[in-house]
Amino acid sequence: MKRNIVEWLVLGASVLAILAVVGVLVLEGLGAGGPPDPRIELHRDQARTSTLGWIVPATVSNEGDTAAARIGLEAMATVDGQEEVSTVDVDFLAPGSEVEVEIGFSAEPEGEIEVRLLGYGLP
Amino acid sequence: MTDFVRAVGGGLLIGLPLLYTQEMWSHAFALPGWKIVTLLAVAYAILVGYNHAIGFRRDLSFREVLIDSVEALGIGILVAFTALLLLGRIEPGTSLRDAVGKVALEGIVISFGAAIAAGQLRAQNDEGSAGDEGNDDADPFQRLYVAAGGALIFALNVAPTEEPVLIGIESGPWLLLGVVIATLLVTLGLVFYADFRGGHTITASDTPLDHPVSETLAAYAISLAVSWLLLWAFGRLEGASLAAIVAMTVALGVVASLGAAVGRLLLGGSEAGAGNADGGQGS
Repeated sequence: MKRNIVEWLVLGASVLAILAVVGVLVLEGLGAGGPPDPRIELHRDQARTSTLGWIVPATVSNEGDTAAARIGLEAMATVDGQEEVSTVDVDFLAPGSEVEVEIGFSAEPEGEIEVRLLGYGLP
Repeated sequence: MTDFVRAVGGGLLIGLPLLYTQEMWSHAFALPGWKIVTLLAVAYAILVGYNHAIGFRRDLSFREVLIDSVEALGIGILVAFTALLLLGRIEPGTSLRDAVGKVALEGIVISFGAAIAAGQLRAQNDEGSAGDEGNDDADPFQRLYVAAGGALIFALNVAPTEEPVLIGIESGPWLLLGVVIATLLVTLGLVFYADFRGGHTITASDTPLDHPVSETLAAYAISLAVSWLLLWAFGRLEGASLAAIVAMTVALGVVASLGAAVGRLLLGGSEAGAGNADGGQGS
């Protein structure tokens, strides 16, 4: 008798878990199918200097409704009067997901770091 | 001694694909140590359940099951270390942390192979083991434990690679919903209607889990949980949205639930068709 209750509990939990998965998929399917919207946020306060230069962490996120693949980003800044360009690639980014990257320059840039999108592939 | 050789052989058979998988070597040092420890702990818990259900030896006390599971894990780790050494993946220049990580990850799969090899060839006397009093047919919980073991082995072969992530993220939600339904139907058919030797026969049953549909659902939920755990362990869930997590879990869940189905077929073999199943293998 006690056994049956445990079995019902396991079965109930299983069905709930599967329904949760199905529910997310259905909600996702009913949602709008807008384009990807990759964004980047630099964390200059967490920047650090290494033997190979200056490194700034950044968060790349996708605020759109579709996944983006092979996202290319280019960061530009002026270091010691010279324009420096660094690129960073993100393999794939699901909608609503984010990934941490780090961008390197030869030394800490003087002014702003400008980031622009090079492009991405659609799934 | 025979048991040991059997366990090593089985472990190698099951573990070889992963020994030759580059992602397993690279994940060893990319993964934080506590995640590897968590995986080991879960693997041990599943091993205990598996050994309890099939067992190195029958008529074991729970304590002996625990010890047998430690043995299986130990054999897995020893075989993994030796194999990685021979394959040149562990060299004098390899850092200790890297070597330990590789051995632990590969050891998990090999230990399951060892437990299966030992367990499947031991099933001659099909006396109920110490734990399942009064339940002489396949205990649903034992079946689910074995399902978890099968799911872990199969999914672990795929989880370190990028493909489940790609499949999950690049498939639309409706496609994945189809995948969920297809997975449920295939596993239900495999275990209950394909009539494989050792397949579980459907009997009118009185317990809620001892039914084709409910067992399929429970095994699928366990497979999804195992998939989620592996994706988490391999760092695939960091920063991922809920939809992406579900998508990747469903993609890996296909592999896991097939493993869970195969596991249950093997268990069915030791319970129902023990005489036939072992006829050709006795040496």
